[in-house]
Order: sequence, then C-alpha cells, then structure tokens
Amino acid sequence: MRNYYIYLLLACLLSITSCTKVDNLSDEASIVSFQITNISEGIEIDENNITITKDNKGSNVSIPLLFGRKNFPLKLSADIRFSSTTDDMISVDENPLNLKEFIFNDVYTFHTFYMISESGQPHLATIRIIDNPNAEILSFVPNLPKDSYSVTIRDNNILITLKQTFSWPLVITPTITKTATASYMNYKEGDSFTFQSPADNEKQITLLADNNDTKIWNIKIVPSIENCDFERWIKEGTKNVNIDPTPGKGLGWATANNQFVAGTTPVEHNGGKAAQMTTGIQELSGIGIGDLITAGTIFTGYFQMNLSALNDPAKMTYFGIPFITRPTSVSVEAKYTPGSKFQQSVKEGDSKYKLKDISGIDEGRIWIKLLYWKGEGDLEYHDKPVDGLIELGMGELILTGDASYRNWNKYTIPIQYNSTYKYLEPTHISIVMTSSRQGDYFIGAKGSTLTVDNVTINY
Amino acid sequence: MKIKVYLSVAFLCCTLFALGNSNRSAKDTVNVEEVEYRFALGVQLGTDIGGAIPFPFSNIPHPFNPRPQLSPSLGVKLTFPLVRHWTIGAELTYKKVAIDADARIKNQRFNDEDRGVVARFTGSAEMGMDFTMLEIPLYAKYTFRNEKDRILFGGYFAWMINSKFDIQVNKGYMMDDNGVYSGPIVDEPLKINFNDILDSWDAGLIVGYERRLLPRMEIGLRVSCGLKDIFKRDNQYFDYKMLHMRGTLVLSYNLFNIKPSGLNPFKHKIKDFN
Repeated sequence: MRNYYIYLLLACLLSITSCTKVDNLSDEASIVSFQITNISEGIEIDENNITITKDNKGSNVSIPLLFGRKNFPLKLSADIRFSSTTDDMISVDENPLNLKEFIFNDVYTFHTFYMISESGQPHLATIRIIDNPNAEILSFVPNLPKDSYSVTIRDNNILITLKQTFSWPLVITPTITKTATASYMNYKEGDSFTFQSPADNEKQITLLADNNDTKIWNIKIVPSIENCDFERWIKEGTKNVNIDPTPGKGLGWATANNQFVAGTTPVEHNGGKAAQMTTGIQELSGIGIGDLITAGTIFTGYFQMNLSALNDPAKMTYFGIPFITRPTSVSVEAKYTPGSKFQQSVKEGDSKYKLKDISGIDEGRIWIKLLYWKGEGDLEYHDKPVDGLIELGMGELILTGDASYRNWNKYTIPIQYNSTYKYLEPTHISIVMTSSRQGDYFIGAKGSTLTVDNVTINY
Repeated sequence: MKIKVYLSVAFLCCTLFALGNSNRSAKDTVNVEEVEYRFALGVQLGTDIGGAIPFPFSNIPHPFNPRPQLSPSLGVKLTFPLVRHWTIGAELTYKKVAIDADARIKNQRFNDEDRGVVARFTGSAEMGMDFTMLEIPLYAKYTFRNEKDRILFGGYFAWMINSKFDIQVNKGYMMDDNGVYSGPIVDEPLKINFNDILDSWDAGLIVGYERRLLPRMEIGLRVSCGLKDIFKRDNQYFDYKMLHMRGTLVLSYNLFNIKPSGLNPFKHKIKDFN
C-alpha cells in the first residue's frame, strides 16, 4: 500500500514537471532549407546560389534568375523545411496558403507568408526571384529643370516624380546610363517620350542582355497632386462653391459639399486661398430625416450625391486617387478651433434624427492612407475594408481642442508602412481632412473649424 | 441543458425512493437501536481546487498550465436518514473558485472593442477565472458497515454571485473573424474579458468520500462536474463548452442531532418492535 502512494506521488510530480511553461516557448520561427523540385520551361534558376537570410523579422529566400524574363509567369515547386520551433504557417491575406507551389507573374512579384513560432509570434517569410543584373538602367536624367522632379529606379520601373505642375503634353528626352553589355531594342539614345496627360503615365524601353534575355523597363510619370495649395475653386461666391477637382473627377481634390450644405469654402490666407471646413447642422426635417451634424470635409477622390444615403455620408465619399510612390510623410499648414456645443444626431426608433448634447470636445482629423488596389475595375473606397484593397501605409493627425492648434502651424504627418507589404507599390493615395473626426457618426460641434493650406507630399 | 438537470434530479430522487422501498420490504422488523435516524444540522469549512475546463477535452490548449487559487468556503448542511445505510442531504455553501493559467491559445474569437468587430487571436496568454458562488448540493450518502466511511453522490445547483474571466495575450497575432491575419500583438498585450457572456448559474454532479473523524466531525473529499456551459447560450466567441470541474476538501461539524419522532421514517416499525 505504501508503494502505491509513492508511485502516485511520483506520477503527480512527473506530470507537474513535464508541463511546458508558456514562458519557455520559443519566439523563433524560420526557414532552414528551400529546395526547388520543379520549374517552368524556358526559365533558368541558379539553384546552387539560393540564399536564406534571417533577421529578427523573419526569413528571406532569394532565388537568382539566370535566364527567361520573357517566359514568365514562373511556376516553381519547392520543398521547404522549417525550424523545429516553427509551429504553423499562415497566409498573409485571405488567399489559401500553398507552400508546395509558387507562381511568380514576373521577376518582381514575390510571395510572403507568416511562420508562427511556438509562442505564437508571427515572422514574415519572403520568397523572391532576384533578377539577373545584365540589362540594368543605372541612371535616368530627364531634361527638366533641376529641383522640379526626382527619379526613382526600382525593379524595372523608372518613376519620375514631378514636384511642380507642368503643362501637358510633357516631352521628356532623357540621358540614360545602362549596363555596358546590354543594347536597346526599341529605342536609340536621344529619343524622346511624350506624355499626353497625367493619366498617360507609362512608356517602355526594352534592353537586350548579352545572354539574349530581354528586360522591359517602364517609365512612369508621377504627377504632383494638383491644387494642393487650394487656390483653384469653382462657383466661388455662390452656395454651390466647391474645390476645383483638377486634373479631373477622381484625380484630385473633392469636398462633401452638396445642395444642402457647403461645409468647405475658400478663405484668404497668406495672400492666397486656403480651404476652411466647418461643422454645421443640416436641417433635413422637411424630407423626413431630421437634424444631422455635418462635418466639413476635403479629400482626394470624388463626391457622389445620393439622396438615399443622406444618413450615411461615408457612402457618398469615394476616397483615393491614383498614386504610385511611397512618400515618407505629408505636410500641411493647418489650424483648428472646436465648436462650443458637442452634440450627436440621434435617431430613436423610426423617428427623425434629433440633436442630443454629449460630453467631450470636438476634434478635427487629417489622415493619409497609401493603398494597393488589386481588384477589378475602379477602386470604390469609403474608408471601410474592400476585397482586393490592401492598406500599405497610414498617417494621422488629430487636432484636439488644445489652444496650440488654434493658430496656423505646419504639421508633418509621418506615414507608417506595414512591413508585410514592403514590396508592393501603392496604386492610390487617400488624404482626408475633416472638421469633426466622428462626423460619419453625426458627432461634432456646430462651428468646429479646420482650415488647411499647402499640402506637400514628402519623400 | 435544463432538461438534463431536471432528468438528473428526477433520476436521483427515483433511485433513492426505490432504494428506500426495497430495504423496507426486505425486512419486516427493524431494531431501533440499529437505526441512526438523526436529523443533523452542521456547519462546514472547505476549499476548492479547479475551475472551468474546455469540453470536449480536445479543446484544452496545449500547453496549459493551471495554477489553482485556494479560497475558503463556508456553508451549512442538513442530513436526514432514509434507511439504515442511506442518508440524504443538502448544503448551502458560499465559495470562491479561482484559477489562473498560462496557455498557448489558438484561433480564439473575441470582441475587438477598439475596432468594434469580432476578431480572433492566436498566441501565448495568461488567463484568470474567478467564480464566487452560492452552491446548493443535494446528495445521497451510503455509510459503510464501520459507521465511519461514506460515499456520496448527487447533484448541485450554483448561483454565480460574481464571475470573471480575463485573458491577457502577451505574444501572438490577431486575425479577422474569417481567420485572415490582421497584425501582430506587440508592445502592448491584448487584454480581453469575457465577463459579459458568463452565465449566472450552473448545475452538475457530485461524487465524494467522507470519513467521520470524531463523533460530530467529518472530513470529505468531493469531485464535482458541471453539466452546463459556463457561458450564456447565445455567446458567439466559443465554439466549445467550458464546464466547471473541481475537487473539494471539506471539514464539517454537526451542531445538532435532532430526533424528532414525527420525522422518524421508522416510527411504525418501532411501534411493532415494542
């Protein structure tokens, strides 16, 4: 009997000591080997020089390309081995994860997924093709005034970012430096590229490498966002005043002004004009809606009036305009004064919206999002999740009731990028400025005023 | 769940009734000296070890390191004999059952209050469960021939006076409700509480063993298992149940041994005997 108790005690001790403490679980997860088992025809990979690098964020597999850019997409089957402390692998998005086969649409697309450590920490894994540097454009200098542009060369893209407004068509005659052993296929030195409008933003050069492989280079114009100084308005002096949407609807600035309310108007500033947003009360009792708190808003995109969406203003604002670079920050001159009575339009049952006093002080908001749209057709974005839309980066400034915001100041809003998508380039930028940050929920104070001028995109 | 509880109680009553009747019919006469038909009122002090455990057990996270928190329980009990070896009893106990644990949790739904959506997380977490309750066990006891050892079985009902279930995720990542990755949990731990979805009552089964230490003092060991999910029926965060499971050590002292003849179930036999 005594032995029985001893065995029982030992079993209990064993079971207690054998429990793995959560604190002892490893935070590490990594790829330890990557072996190619099959590859598309017409593409050659340097299998002996595949490298796996690790850092504190994750693992990177680099697969050197030898030949076959024109034969992409590349279908690549692989056998991947993970460290013993890797508990799981998950997709970075809604697409199912397939670690047996990867499809690269071109040399510059890549695959990412998360490796989950024992403790649950995610580590990003990236699998990339490394281009053969045998047909490079090393420098590209347009014949534009110095300081009026900047050039970025990335992957097979040459991005010419315009820092001032140019007249269209824009003719660029570049001076190009290329890999010495490569030759032009459809271009000769001294040729010009004519861009008809800001929308006509892509030309191409093809280089032939010494191994007869070809590389297509895209030359893209990144126009500055026009009217960032808010000097141009339409129908000034009338109740239908609005910002000039130049260079066209959905390509520049817009406001939420409509036939019921003009919350954004031009005001004098520094000898020019600025945009002033004011929160007001929209009296729509006549059409059965009631009294709505309405924030003044200016944004990149366009506004589409919809009478059936008056009680859901976000549905009428289409945020985002085409934009293809990654700015580091956005600067804006601004001042903000909150209104005195903080209120919310509240609907009880089937009744009309009524104003209700609430505690707190109104706040203005300026936010920037860099977006990647991979869906079909035009982007329709109302600051709510959309299938096919990835938020690459975001910056935000909240203008509180603090007295320091009541005078003009220049604010620089840094943009934080999601490292998961570090290899994706934006397709759109959404800049939104509003006099009441909870205006979408009909929360604000009548008279809250946000005035802005001279928006600058910084790189 | 209510039906299960009613059925369990009904089954228990029927069993006890049948046992009582069978023993009576087996003997024509009973020696009153052999019958301990005391109607006893006592107080008891104890402690519980346990908490709510995922059920089916395959849902218990791995690793899972529970750290039971011991708290005293206080109650009164009432027992009444049915036949010579069989007694029924009821108790009213105020107790606190608490357990802390660390665990590696996978794909757990929760309400992301910052964003106002239902989301999910996976990661290393610390959790704390704390249930303060008023428990009413109803049971039958069988006393062995040595008149010292007993086994008991029955059911209990518990009213949760105060319940807490907190989770703090220190490492891991979040997903949307469809399981799509939405970001790591870094810098600040993710704090979640499920207090709002905890139900206010519980019911389950008890089995146990008791031994008389002194004429009025008994010590007992019990195991109880809830039959009811600790969460409200409409909770949307847990795909599995969590059941109360605990062991109880209890020391009781009988204050009164009352022998009211009116309550003696053997009084007609006593008359026959005399």
